[in-house]
Amino acid sequence: MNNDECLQPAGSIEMILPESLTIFDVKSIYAHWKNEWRPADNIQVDCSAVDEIDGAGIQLLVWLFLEYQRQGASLVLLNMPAQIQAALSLYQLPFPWLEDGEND
Amino acid sequence: MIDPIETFKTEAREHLVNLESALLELEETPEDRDLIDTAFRSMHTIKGAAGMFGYQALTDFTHHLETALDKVRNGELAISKQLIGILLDAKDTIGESLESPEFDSHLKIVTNRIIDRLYELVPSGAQSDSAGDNEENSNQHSASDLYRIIIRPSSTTFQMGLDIIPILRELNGLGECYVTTCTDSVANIEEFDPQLSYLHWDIMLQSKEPASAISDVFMFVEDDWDITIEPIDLTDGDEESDKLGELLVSRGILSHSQLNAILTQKTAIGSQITQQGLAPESAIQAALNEQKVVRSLKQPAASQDATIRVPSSRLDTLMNLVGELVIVQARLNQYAFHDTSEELLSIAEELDVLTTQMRDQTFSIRMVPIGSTFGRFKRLVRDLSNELDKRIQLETYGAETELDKMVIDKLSDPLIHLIRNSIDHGIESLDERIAAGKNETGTIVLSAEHSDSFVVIRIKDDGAGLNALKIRQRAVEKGLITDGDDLEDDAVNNLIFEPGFSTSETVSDISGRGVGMDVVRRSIQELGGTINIATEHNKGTEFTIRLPMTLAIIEGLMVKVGSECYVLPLSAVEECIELNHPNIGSHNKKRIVEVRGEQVPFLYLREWFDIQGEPPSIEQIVITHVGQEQFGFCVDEVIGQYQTVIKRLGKLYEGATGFSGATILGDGSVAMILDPSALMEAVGETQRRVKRSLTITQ
Repeated sequence: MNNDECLQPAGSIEMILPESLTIFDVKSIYAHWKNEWRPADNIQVDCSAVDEIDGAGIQLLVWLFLEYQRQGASLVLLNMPAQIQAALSLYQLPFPWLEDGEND
Repeated sequence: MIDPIETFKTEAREHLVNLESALLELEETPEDRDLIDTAFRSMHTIKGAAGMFGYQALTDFTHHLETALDKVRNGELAISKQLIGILLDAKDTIGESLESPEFDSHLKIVTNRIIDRLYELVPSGAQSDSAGDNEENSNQHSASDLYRIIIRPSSTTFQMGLDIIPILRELNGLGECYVTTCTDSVANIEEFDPQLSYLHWDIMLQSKEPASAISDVFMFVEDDWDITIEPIDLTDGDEESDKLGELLVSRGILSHSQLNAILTQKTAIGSQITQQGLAPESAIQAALNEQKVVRSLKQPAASQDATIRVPSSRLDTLMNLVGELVIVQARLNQYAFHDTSEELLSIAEELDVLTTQMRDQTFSIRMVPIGSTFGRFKRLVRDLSNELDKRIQLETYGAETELDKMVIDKLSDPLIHLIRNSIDHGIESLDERIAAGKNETGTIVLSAEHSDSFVVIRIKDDGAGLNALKIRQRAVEKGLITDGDDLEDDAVNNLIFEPGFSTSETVSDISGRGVGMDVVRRSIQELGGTINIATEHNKGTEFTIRLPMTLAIIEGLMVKVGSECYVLPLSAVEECIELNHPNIGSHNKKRIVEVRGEQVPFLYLREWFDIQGEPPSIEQIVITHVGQEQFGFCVDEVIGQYQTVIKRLGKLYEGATGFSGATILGDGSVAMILDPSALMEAVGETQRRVKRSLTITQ
């Protein structure tokens, strides 16, 4: 599991999601994010490694998006595997967080 | 005001027409889902409406039929000829019962028999489904296919191993899902616990599945989650109900007083509500979702609601009034034309334009697609071919062709008779067709199309064709002609329109009594139309009917002979030419004029109507066409185009040939409306007797 963040110049953050984002993982991931939290303008979240996700995982992503939104930052999900996109699309979230600026 | 019960009966009859049409088509294409849905919806609507008016017997009967159709929809029962037969009989019985929807003993027996026949076909379990579950069934199939589903999982749902994703997936499988994921409760960074559930969902589901199927989705979570499933009523008739503010009030998010306060401001209601903190954004989004779905579903219903039902007698009255208006308009035009006031003339012209528009609009209201009558012909062909053990298919074309409602109403019987004749006499038996090397299935084609201001209807079969020899023999037997009469084939064929004529060897229930074809021709003629026959031995017979689109007002060409005015239908007029030859040898009323190399017979109206006085030195010939033939009418003067309100001639004039009616002119005098076809025929008859003609070369 790699949930390191690489600090980018000009307030950009790139985050890499782990393989699993389920009820069994969200607590540790959230704790890590909270500890490493720093303000940024743009957050790019690489989803390419995600293999498994459930409602708790999606809720964590929603929280992340909303939290950065509250701080005036924008978050984009990159390289999303098809099965993850299919699960997200069930929520019909109005967030412009996909690569092409579309909602899911 | 129209009696609501009458409205119910009228609408039920319309649904029966749709039902019959769908059933007949299903017999040919049993897999057609749209047709199955149409049949089900028709039966469902009749049942619902009957229940609303308290007609319990009819409701119960249609419930059994609806159950069977529902099983067809669900793939539990296959469409078969037998099932279609039962449903068609049921349709007839429902039609019969509309006269007295509380069943008498006869109807009770008939409906019970139909139900018994039905359950011989329906798989086991169907009877219990339909015997006592009216309430449940009607709940399952509420008028609305739209549901609002609110899902609030318990906060510990993830820890309990429950998840929303499979639930959303299943709901998507039931129909079109419009999901609003409400994120308002997601805690901030300090308070958020990722193992607790914060989201909830407000979903609009458009589904054809019963409510029970939707409930089943929540089977494993219903004890722990807060689930609400509400059908949305799309037929509430309240125009305000789908407005955002009203939706938020109905969802308990806003109070009426809050809504009223917001409505006094001019900015968008949604943004005001969120700015004022009255509702979270996701609640607005969910309500907007509902608004979008409800409006899209209401749209077809609204477009249907845009029509109103009025008794046809009111349309007749309106048409009569427009007719009178046109007459007064003509009078005003005449007066204004001879008056010196330019202002009066200008007003008359303006009013003339409006009157013409009003006339055209009134016409269009009365126009009905002829296809509305086609359904019954399909049924006729199906039933009679079964009865006669023949294989016959009916093909229809041009169902969208419009005709005046009155014409369509009066046309129905002649068409039924012609189709019955084609089935009974035209199409051969199976053995005869095989022996003749023909397809075992005979075909009758019924088509309609516009041609100028006429509608042309054709009934064509691929049967044996008319037997001219047999017709001639029967005509001689009946004394209609003598053995020595030299008649062309067309004339022989037309003998079938003579009263009492029939070549049928046996009289059947279907036709052959010889009381039909003369009535057919008379009916068509009364509608201002003509009927012609074309037949070929072993190939088939085609009847061609030409009918005017309306019987109320026509565009006419006014002509004058002596002091008398006449009107010719403008649709039949081709051109007017001058005739400056001296009138010689006038014993014979029909003459020939040569027009651009074509010889066209014409009639001196002055002689035909025995009008006294000298004709002008230069006369006019109005060339008309009747079908493919040209025929001229010689008149003193062509006055011009004239909106002609047709007044029927009274009984006194029943025997007068050559007139299709009369019209009242602006000065109050009467002009006869000429019927070119009838005049041509009458002259031809005279001609045959005189057997002499004179040619004048133009």
